[in-house]
Amino acid sequence: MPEGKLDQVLFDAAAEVLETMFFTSTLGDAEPTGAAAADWLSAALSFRGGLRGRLRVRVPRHTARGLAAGFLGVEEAAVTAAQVGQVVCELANMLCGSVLSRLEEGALFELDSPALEPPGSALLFDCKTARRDLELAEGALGLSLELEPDR
Amino acid sequence: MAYNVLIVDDSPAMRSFVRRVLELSGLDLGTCLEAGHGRDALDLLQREWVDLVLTDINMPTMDGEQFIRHLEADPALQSIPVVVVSTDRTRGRVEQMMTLGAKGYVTKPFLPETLREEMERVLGVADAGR
Repeated sequence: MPEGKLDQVLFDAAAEVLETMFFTSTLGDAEPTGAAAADWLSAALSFRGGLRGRLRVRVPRHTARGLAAGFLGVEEAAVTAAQVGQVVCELANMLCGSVLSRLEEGALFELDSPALEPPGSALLFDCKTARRDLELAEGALGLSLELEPDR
Repeated sequence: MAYNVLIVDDSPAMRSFVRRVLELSGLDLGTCLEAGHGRDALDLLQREWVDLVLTDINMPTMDGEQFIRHLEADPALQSIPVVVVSTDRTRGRVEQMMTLGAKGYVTKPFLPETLREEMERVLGVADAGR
């Protein structure tokens, strides 16, 4: 699949999920940042079926808190750290579903449960099949898709 | 008539989101119950009656597919309509879940009105929220 098409799929999926469920929108592409890993949260899930691979999402903690507040419909100050993690995982889950349906509409997929990655994982956010870094009103969001070759 | 609804999803955040959508939908909502997976939901349904189940597919312990199979096999529970609420929007999965017995399917992400309209359709409620 052309890399440009995958990039567009990541962008379209992010725009749809953020606008529909998080009541925010993408402002465009952002420069990949080398911010300290402790300042970022990252979640990932693997999938298999029509395609096999892994999708990862990373967001700065302050962005994650803003997104969680929008998702849960509460003030940022009322959002707990656990809720922030749950929302980032759910964001990864929805992005993965949106991406896969755009790539293989008729296929059946099994998705693992999304999980937060250990601190430091966000720094290892490169060399994937496709990657997109986006600017949001709340900060930034990066997502990457790794597809395993057909066997 | 107030409708009792059971939300089955392993994500507490998603259950909160769906609950909020229901509360804001205008639907005459009675008790809103929650379960983290299909097994918990079945246990809960032994004690509580609901008018509608909203269930995710990918869950630990008992996933949505197994959960619907159990509901359909239980004469006491098979009449409860189930709407699947899932990130999986692939055509194959939608067809599979509807064949198993789901009465509706809403894909995440969804607009609040999409969920409300699907619930109204499945419950046979016309203009319930307006």
